[in-house]
Amino acid sequence: MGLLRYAFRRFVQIIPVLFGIVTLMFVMMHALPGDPVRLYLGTEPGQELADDLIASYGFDRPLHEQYFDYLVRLGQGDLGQSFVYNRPVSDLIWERMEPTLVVMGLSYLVALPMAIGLGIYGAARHNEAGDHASRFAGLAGISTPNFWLALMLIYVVTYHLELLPASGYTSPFIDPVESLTLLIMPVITLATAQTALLMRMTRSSMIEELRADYIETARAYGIPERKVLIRHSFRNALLPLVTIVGLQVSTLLGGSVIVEEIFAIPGLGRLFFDSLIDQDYSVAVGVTLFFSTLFLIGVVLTDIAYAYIDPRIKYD
Amino acid sequence: MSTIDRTDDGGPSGTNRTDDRTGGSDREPLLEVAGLQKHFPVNSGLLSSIRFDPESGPFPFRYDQSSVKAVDGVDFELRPGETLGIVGESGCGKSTLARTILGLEEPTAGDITFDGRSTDEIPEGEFRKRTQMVFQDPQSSLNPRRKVGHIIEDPLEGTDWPRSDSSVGADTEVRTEDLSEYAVNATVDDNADLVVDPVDGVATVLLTVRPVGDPTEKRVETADDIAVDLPWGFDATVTVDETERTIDIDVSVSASKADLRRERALELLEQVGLKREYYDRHPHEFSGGQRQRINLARALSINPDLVVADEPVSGLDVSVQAQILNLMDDLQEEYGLTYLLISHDLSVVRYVADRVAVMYLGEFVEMAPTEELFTEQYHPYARALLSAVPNPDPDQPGIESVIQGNVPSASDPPRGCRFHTRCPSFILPDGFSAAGYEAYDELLGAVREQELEGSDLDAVVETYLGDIDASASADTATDAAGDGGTIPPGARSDARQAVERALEGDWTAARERLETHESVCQSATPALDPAGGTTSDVVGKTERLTACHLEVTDEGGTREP
Amino acid sequence: MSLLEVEDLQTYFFTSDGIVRAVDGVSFEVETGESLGLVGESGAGKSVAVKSLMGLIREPGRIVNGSIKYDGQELTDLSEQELRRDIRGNEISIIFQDAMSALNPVFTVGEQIEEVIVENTDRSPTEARERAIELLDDVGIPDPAQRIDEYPHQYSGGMQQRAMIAMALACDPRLIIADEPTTALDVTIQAGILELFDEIQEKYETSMVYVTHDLGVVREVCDRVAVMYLGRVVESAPYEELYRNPKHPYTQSLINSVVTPDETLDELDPIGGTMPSAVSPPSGCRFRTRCSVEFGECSQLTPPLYDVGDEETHTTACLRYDDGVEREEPALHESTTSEPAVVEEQTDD
Repeated sequence: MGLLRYAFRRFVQIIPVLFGIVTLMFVMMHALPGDPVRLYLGTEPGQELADDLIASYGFDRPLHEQYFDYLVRLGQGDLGQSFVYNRPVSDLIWERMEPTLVVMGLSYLVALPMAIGLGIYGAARHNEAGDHASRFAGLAGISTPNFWLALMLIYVVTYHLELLPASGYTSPFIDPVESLTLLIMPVITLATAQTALLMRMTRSSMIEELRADYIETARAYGIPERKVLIRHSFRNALLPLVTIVGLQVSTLLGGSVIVEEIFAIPGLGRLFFDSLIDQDYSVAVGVTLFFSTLFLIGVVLTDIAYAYIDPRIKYD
Repeated sequence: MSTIDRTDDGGPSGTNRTDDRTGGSDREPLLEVAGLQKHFPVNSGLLSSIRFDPESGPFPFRYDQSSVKAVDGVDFELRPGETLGIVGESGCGKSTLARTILGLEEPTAGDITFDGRSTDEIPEGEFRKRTQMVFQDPQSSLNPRRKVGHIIEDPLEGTDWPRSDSSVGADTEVRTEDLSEYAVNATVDDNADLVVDPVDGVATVLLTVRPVGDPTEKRVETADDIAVDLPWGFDATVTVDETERTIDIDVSVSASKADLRRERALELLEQVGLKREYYDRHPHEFSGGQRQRINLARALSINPDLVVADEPVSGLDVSVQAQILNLMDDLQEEYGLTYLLISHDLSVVRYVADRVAVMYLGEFVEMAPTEELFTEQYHPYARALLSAVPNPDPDQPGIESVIQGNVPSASDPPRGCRFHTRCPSFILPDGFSAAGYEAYDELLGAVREQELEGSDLDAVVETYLGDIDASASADTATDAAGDGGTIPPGARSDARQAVERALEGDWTAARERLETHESVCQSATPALDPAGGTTSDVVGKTERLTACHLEVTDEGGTREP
Repeated sequence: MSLLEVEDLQTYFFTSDGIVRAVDGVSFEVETGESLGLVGESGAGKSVAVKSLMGLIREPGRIVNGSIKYDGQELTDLSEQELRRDIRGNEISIIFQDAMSALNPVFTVGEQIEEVIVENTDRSPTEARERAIELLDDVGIPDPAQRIDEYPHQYSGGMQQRAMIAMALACDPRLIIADEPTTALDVTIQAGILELFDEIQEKYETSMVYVTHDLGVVREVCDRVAVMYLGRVVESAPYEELYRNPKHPYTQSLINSVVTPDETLDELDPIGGTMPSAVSPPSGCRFRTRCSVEFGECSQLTPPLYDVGDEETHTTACLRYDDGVEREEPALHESTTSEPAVVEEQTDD
């Protein structure tokens, strides 16, 4: 019950933050230099079209009325209209959601087990050969820019080895095999940096943990070393990891923009990127709002996971 | 009052202070604390305080304002030159009390009066100059990145010490050698009191004037022919008028404030038993005992009136403890300090304190002159505390009694006397046996919570009081042979009526009826009063106070009222 | 044959600052059902000594020499796995000083005790749980069936230590090592724990090695006591005998410097100076730098343990007792009791 109450409270606390973001978006949109009509319609629109737009969006109305309108429309799920596609933004987001979430999800799926495994290994073999090797690999992983990695992969795998196609996306729910061949390289790109960072965190967290008094107690009572490592230390070492994993949602969202562009995946990242270039502001704002919400949910889930793992956190 | 040798090398002066710091009973108290409370909210912030409560009103939420009552009504006086020891176990609130008195925490209620003025009115700077704290953990209370000498100087810097007092005059005392033909005049700047301690309102600089080299050979013609011996920190300009045969000496303070502070820090190091060379070292190079000496040096640097020491020796080895306590004692005499000493260790307190107050769950339960308290304790907790201290001497008694149970939560302290839940001398109302009262109390508790088990009158009475035998005669106090003990018949019938009320929904009436048989230990909070009731133990400034419903008998010892 | 025989134990730590000779020739014995107090100030090496018994010393420390015979079996010959399987937890248990940090915060008290039972005995998880509840009850934890599912931070300090004691008793060990178990506790709580130790010894006849710096505690719980100074045992005797007839100068100073509740201590006589570094200890008798009586030989010879008692139960490592009799020879030179304080940090006990 305590945990539920805590979860509830954390979710409730998102609301003011979202509110702030939404308001910030509004302010930014209207603070941008330039004529909103032109922004929406491109350069030299016809007067009639312009008037239409002004009327329907209420650009001639006072700012606070526009704001209120904006909030109301948001509440109804209306994120505006994309002028490039001439379709509601919400529809666009709905369509492009899947590829982004699939890539992100797979990235986590690949990165987490590897990172944790390597991290624990590194901590157990602290300062021995295996540890140094994995640390080096970790450093390499973090230092490699993801766009470079993506391009290199394409260059080697597609161009030279002609093994995998470099662009496109197929939903894994429709055709798993083809989907996989298309997703391998994008996921590797994203997962590399993620794994590297998580692995280093796991390793240092574990090393810290293994020094704890209660680990000495476990050993003193004849608990086998493997159990000490995994059951006793890891559980405690998990705590900082969970935080990082939650925050990585934002890193992945950012990375997805690049990866989707390079691998021509029709996801939200690509949509966002294109909308900036095309000055399709309603799309840009809509996607930003979506990403923010996603991130906030990630943060809250992290907090809840934290409270679940560590009984000392007072969530009453 | 300091031991600084002023004739040879001068040395910086302390702040002006009266010579007589240790007071007799006619002195005003230096510190007065009245009704002091410090409560900490249990929940941090608005959202965390909200509780889901289906039974509360239209919105099923309520606001939980419970708080931890760390200090819950403390009164005492502290006279100049005295040492008051506050003893208690962890969680009793003694550290919070110390911090609140020093202004590190804002009191929830109550007054603190320092030297006649309320601490609300005293500007913080002044208050900090006159009070200092010595903390418990010598490791963490010293910044590992700084030199020890600098750490000691911190309070000096903070109060911009030294500052010249304009009400203090400055004068010179000149000694001449072989200059009988000359008239020597010396003047000194008004701020000489920066370096030299004033005596009777005047800072006097001693100087010796003599000719350079052999006086018979040369006549004194210029300033170069004159040497002036000055105390440390001063410089002199000499003008010689050959014709008039006068020598004018103009003395000024040459030591910078930094110099003065450094010199004081060096002196302090020596006073606490360390070496001057240690000035440049870092805390980690010292043992625990030495670090605590550094702490003391720092606290003393600005010559405070009041020093609050929170567990000053608890982390140290026993032999080192003795050394530090000795030092504190010496410093108290030397500087005329007033100590408030917090400790959980009775032996420590016994060694240094004039009076002792025993603290439990936010309140003082007994206060007495040290030796009197150690000879005999009136409050059961004080007694338990003392008898729990192990004694290595096999010819003396060891640990005699062990009080059971744990300290109750400070956010929900027991009613009446806070110690009653664990008190071996709990006052049972007439006719009750211990077990009988326990059962009765459980019923009372249930009624308070408005949660009775069962809904049938007889069944409920049976559940709570079933094991109890009703004693036949009204004045019996002996246990019957029954399982649970005895309660007087009046109580039994009242209980029955109370349950009846309760089942009808009138919880208030039920509670009130049951409370008529409550033990005084639960119904009334004992005040910290002079022990003995009618026999007053007040002797001059010493009093024996105890917060217990037990009475002190004339032969000593306690009995039920 | 004693239950535990330790002979000439030496445990060194090989650090970059030098070799720390934390335990440098420690010998003592513990009989079945007996409790031995191991007393000394911090830095004496008591904790290192007892942890060595269970093989809990890790890099950069190790046992370099000595014999530890438990029930006739030489423990220093056993592999890590054998120690874990046969000794730790089932034959010898250890109770640490700070119960809060010795218990894992993310597991319930019950889970931790049950794990110990399951790993070391044949019991099933259900049986283990029953036994755990029984143990918690034995050690005086109220409502054990409820509190078994609580986490360590939900227990008070005294209760946490009782939980640790329950864990130590879980597999019916014959020897319990207690490393300053009450040092961090309030005095009334300590009294309760000491009472518990008394009960345990009576009920189970377990042997104990009780490490402490507090002689008052030794008086309550221990039959015999060994005094340690800078890695060595300097005196060993039944407790009362030791207190009434201390032979070693260190023991004498220790007793005189202790603050006891029944005296007004103007007679307090602190031992001057601090314990020297264990990296470069004084040659010969290690206490000689603070000893009020010092002979020339004190710096040349390491005193062995001489018998001084009537029944061979009182031994002391001081050259004055060469043939069991105290020498009255004048000291060749007096050394002062107040050494300038040594500035180096001491290693952990």
